[in-house]
Amino acid sequence: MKRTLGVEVLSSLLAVAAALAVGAGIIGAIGQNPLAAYGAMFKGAFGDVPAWADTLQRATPYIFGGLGFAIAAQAGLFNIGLEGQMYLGGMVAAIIGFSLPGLPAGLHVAAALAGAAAGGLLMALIPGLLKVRAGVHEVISTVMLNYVAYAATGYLTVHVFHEPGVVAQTFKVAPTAVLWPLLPPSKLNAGFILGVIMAFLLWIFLFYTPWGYDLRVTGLNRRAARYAGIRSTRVVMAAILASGAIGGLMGAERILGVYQRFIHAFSPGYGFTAIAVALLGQNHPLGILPAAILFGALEAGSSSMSLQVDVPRELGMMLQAIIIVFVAAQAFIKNRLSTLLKRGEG
Amino acid sequence: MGDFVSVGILQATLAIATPLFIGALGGLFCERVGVINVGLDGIMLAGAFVAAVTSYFTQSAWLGVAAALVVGACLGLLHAGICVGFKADHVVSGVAINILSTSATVFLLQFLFGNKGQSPSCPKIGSLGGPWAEVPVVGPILENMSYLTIVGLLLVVAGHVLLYHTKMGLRLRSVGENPYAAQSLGLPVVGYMYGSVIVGCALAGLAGSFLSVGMLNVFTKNMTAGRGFIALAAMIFGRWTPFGALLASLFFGYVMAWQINAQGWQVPAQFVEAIPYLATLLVLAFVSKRVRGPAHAGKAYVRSEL
Repeated sequence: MKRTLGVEVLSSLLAVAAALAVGAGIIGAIGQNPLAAYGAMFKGAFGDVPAWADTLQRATPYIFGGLGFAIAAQAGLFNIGLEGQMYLGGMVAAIIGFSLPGLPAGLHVAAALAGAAAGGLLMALIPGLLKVRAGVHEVISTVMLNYVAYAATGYLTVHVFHEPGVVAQTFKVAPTAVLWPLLPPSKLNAGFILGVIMAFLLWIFLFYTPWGYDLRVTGLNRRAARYAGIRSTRVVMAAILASGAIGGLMGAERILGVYQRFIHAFSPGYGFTAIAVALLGQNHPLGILPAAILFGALEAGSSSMSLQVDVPRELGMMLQAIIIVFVAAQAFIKNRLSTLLKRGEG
Repeated sequence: MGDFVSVGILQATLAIATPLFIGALGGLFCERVGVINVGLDGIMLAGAFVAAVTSYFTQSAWLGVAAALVVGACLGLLHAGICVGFKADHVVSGVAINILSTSATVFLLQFLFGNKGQSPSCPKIGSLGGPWAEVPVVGPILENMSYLTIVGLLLVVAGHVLLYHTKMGLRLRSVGENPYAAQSLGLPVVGYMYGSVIVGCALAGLAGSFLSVGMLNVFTKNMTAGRGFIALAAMIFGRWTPFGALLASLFFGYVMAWQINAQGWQVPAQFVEAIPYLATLLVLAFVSKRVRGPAHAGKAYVRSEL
């Protein structure tokens, strides 16, 4: 058991190292010094306290999104709809945030978070029902619903809760609904801590409770689970709803903690990148934490790198994708590693 | 305003449907040998980008199309390598290809042109035009039909003939249904998988090139806007057949063309924008139970020892 964990971690690290090597080749190909670029990137991500705050702030949506994707993936489902669940959840959080002034701060935040989770859950209910009742593959239905959520929140932003002005954004949330900042002036907020706590809770749930066991067995082999007396349809439904609820929380953190209002199309694709984070973290809640921080660091670092070295900041995003290509090829790497380890023992 | 049938809507239907049915054809060539391709959208994006850039530098839109085919084939080799060679999860590989294309195209836009939003304008593929305009009824539609649309329609016919009227097509389909049975007949299963996925992804690249050098004459950031996913839906709706995919794409194309037309109404634009996606969902909800894809799609094939 210990050794397989070691292999998993080592193969993830290998994927990251291989991606950095390919990235160095790309930086070299556009005529820049890879070492200088990576140096600037590292400094921008971990160089001082503001750099760390920026990294963790950017990692926060990926913690939520990664956990959301992972809980569905553990049940054998691919929730590509986190983006839409995030938009709807974020919108509900914003509405509760600006329409209920006068609530005590803790209660207001809690209400907004609960509303956001409910919004994301509602968004996931549709693909869940479509899957269980009509056999629609969730990859297709969740993708379609992303566009629907985008349009719906766009409508609410522009026509219903629009704050006068040129920007498509809603009113500001009340100060009582703002997620507490941790290291001002950075945007790092209490949502980060909430994400870390959730990761631990989810870890305990998945690996140390009977429900978590049912969920994982269903994911490994739905037919076998049914023979073992697990009501797999129910488990599948619960997993996709939980996934959507966490997707809603991802939106709430951005809205209540960072923008403090709903801005139309605020996401640069958090929901999709979160899938990559979950994969890098091997769909394990505790693996997702370092994976999310790495992705946050790549973004924070490449942002400040592009100011110092003439390398486009999209390099960070490309590195994220290349990491996933290598993670995808990991079954192969993992096999090789296990064989090597065995040979080393023998 | 809001006509249901007009020359304008029919022209737009065909133009919007073209990348969808070429992409769906590409998707079904992957799934027919058992490889799911969620990366269709990313491959289309890469095809659109390479077509525009090649067309800009060589001043030939057709060279751009050829380059899109090559890039699609290369990504197909990558996808097949991950899914068939490394036996990794197909959806994971597809998601990686989507993220890679999104970031790489913006990265290269910035590097080549110092602009993250769009490429400079480039030559585009022509349309039939000229004498065809004189033909009654279909004349105005033919006049504005891109040569690439015609190529696409011919490919649908060719795809149908290949799949259903050749020995190769029969073997190809058997690989997706039961690779082990195919193997026992002595077929080079892995070769069929690689070949078909590479061809399918090359078609996805072609579908993307229609966006940048067929419909427009420029590449813009994220210009596929999810069309790859709609192509995937069209493939399922069309029951994994070339003509079915064509009809499904024409249906989606019509809904979207009508939607653009309907934006003059008093209905908020966002409602109308959501219609194609809601229509897709509704259609899938009704047909999904009755359609069945290739039996082995999405599963790893491990060559069994004989």
